[in-house]
Amino acid sequence: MIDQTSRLRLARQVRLKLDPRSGKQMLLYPERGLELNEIAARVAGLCAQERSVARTVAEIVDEMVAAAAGTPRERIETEVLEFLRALEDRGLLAVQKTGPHEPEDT
Amino acid sequence: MKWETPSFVEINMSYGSDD
Repeated sequence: MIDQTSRLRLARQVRLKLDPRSGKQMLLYPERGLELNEIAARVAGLCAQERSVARTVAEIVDEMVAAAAGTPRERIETEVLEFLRALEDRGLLAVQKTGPHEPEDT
Repeated sequence: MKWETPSFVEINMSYGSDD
């Protein structure tokens, strides 16, 4: 199960694309797809390149603070992590666990 | 952007031909 120290990116054959019919972002993979809401699409977009979960969460939190959304950081962290785990459960993420002494991001 | 719980609706595509 992924946690803050995991590094991840979208798995091979997973594409983030705009559905012209609904105007919503979709995560597409063979035979299936996920229609994402705005925040989910933002998180998925951050997963297009490999990065740590902690960094992904930090970027989302920073955006929310900048937008004065007033949402507690703990709630954002928890819900982003739950969303990422839902993607992982469906095999949509390539996940690497980092060791305790490895640098967080280079 | 206002915070909302990240969520999705799962769709059975069978974009089927869209590597």
